[in-house]
Amino acid sequence: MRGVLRRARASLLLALLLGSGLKASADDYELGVENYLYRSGSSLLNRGNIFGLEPTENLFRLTGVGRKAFGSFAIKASAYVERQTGRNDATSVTFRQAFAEYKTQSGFLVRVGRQKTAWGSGFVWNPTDRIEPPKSPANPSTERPGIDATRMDISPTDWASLTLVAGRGEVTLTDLPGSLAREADPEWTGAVRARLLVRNTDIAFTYLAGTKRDGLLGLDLGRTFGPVALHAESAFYRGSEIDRTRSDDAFVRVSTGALWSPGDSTLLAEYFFNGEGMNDAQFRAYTERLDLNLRVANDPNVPAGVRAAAFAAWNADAAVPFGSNLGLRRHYASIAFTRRERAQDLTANLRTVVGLSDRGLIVTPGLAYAPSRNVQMTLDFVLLFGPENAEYKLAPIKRALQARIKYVF
Amino acid sequence: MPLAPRAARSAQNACTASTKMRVRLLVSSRDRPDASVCSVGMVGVGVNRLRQCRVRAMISVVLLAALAVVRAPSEVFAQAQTASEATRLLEKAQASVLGDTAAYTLRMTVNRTGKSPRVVTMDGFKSGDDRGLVRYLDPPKEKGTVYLRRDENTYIYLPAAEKVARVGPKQTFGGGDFNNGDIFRLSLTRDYEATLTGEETVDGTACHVLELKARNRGVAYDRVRYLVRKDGGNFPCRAEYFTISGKKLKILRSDEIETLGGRKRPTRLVMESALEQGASTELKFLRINDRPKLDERMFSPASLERER
Repeated sequence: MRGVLRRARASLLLALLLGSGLKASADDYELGVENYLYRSGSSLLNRGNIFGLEPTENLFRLTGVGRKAFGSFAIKASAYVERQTGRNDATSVTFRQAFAEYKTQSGFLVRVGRQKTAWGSGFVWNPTDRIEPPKSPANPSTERPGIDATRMDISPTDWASLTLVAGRGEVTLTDLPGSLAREADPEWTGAVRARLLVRNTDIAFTYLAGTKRDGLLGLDLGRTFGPVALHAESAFYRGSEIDRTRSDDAFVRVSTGALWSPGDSTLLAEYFFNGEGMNDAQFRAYTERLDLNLRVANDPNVPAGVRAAAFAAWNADAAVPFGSNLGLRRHYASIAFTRRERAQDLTANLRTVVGLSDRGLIVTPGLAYAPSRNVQMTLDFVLLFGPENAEYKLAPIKRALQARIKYVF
Repeated sequence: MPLAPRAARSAQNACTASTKMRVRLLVSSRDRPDASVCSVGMVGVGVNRLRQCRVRAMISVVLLAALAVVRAPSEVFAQAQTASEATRLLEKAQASVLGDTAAYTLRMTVNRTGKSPRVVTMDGFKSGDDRGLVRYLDPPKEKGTVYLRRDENTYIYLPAAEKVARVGPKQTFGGGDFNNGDIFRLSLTRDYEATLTGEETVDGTACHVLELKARNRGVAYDRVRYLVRKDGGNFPCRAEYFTISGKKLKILRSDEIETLGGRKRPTRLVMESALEQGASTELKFLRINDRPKLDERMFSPASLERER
């Protein structure tokens, strides 16, 4: 099945490349380079560098995007070739998107193939968008891969629309060095989303369920008050995403914030409540369990079977921070400031995420520069701060430099 | 403005003035019956003359009061007429650029001192006073960016982030000197109260001067001085935008009157910053269709989610 899908996506990309010679104004093509440079180190999760990371891990990518329209029909492919250096020296090809669609001005859309849903009003956390891999709170601007899905949109009126999606995706964090990016079995998920605009308020109801999800109900609200746009995105669901054995529990997540955009500046503040997040005692128990299992797994005096079981338990716990969850703790806040230089060649931004439960801090200063009509360059530094037992200090990654350049034809 | 209370207040003021006059007259004539001040040349008259004088004084008072009562509403009426004339001029000036419904292509040029101009080409659509949509066509790096205005809501779709976000009306539009409110302020008459304050000549062209005062604080500017050409067509000529503290922020010029989309209209709008020397943004209409067939569903935020 996977082989067939891969061949189909490759054929789509080939068709786009062949068709690029007939480029019309409605078509889009771009080529780019991405480089994600990571500095690794020892942490609560990486005692004695158990992940075996090199001090410097690097992901280098050549990217390509093509979209070609034939009236109401269009095809799009977005892929990259990645060369990884560090612990894993490997080269791979990944498709972020590869789909065919039929779209009309009356709001009807059918799209088949790898695609993104990317819904929800939250900027950093989207508790209702649980089909795709979650955004990295450190840098929500990085591009995520989509899922293999079929989507249909219907707009019966100009104030209401309905979206149906059924798809299969690997819901794990992306853009990490290979030994951290966990292999996961694809999950099938179906979703329905009704979006309304009533009395100047955006309202969206979402319901999704899947092979590993008992059901999620989402409510998304957005409204502008004077110069400030407010949003609140909430999800009520059954089955823990942190500990799948707690399937009989029900949880709530809420992401709410405000966007103020006077002139050339933008200020965003967002708060996230993660209802299934660990409290201090649970988090302490989790880190102690990690330590204990690792000690047992490495103890030569312990029988081999027990050591293997302890390592398996450690491995399962260690995968949790890189899984599909939106965070291990309960309370988070994010503040982001963007200042666009007036002629818009240069944009400076500063993003911060604070783990309110443990005082962990991610600071991401960045620059975007457009030196010509076709070129866009982005440079982001990701810096992690906080006490050693803070969630953001668990990861073996100490800091990162993410550079992206694209040329748009 | 409530006209009836204002008229009543004017009449009341006039009556009060006339009453005071009458009291002064009567008191004066009592104090000096033979030396009335009821009118010039009435000094040294007898009692009959005094009575006549009183009657005349009463008649004068009644006439004055009547005059005041007649005059006050006529002033109010004139003011109301000026306001309605101002609103009419404003509506005509707006309609002279784009019709009620329109599809157009626009070229925006952002000029900054010491920098090469930034040029963006975009397709725009307008439906009534409530809905507008602009989609960037060029430069390639920004192609696909979409702004949507629907009623009081403004949205932006950024293709790089693949995100639809609500934004405020005071955000800069495309990094130039216009803001979202300038581009999508589809009805000035709804947002501002207009008064016709006089005439002025701009570059040799006689213009009506309209003072626009914001009806609420949600709009981008507190006050706008809006000039409309007098030489037929009611084309807008110039606009000056002020903050609540009275500081001039921007100046908008409308010119290059050409036939586009089957009729004459200003085809160039230039917004100059009053705060930054040499900073200006030009919008040049390249194509206008005043009778496009538009599906209203394109003016919905859900349609932006299908852009990716």
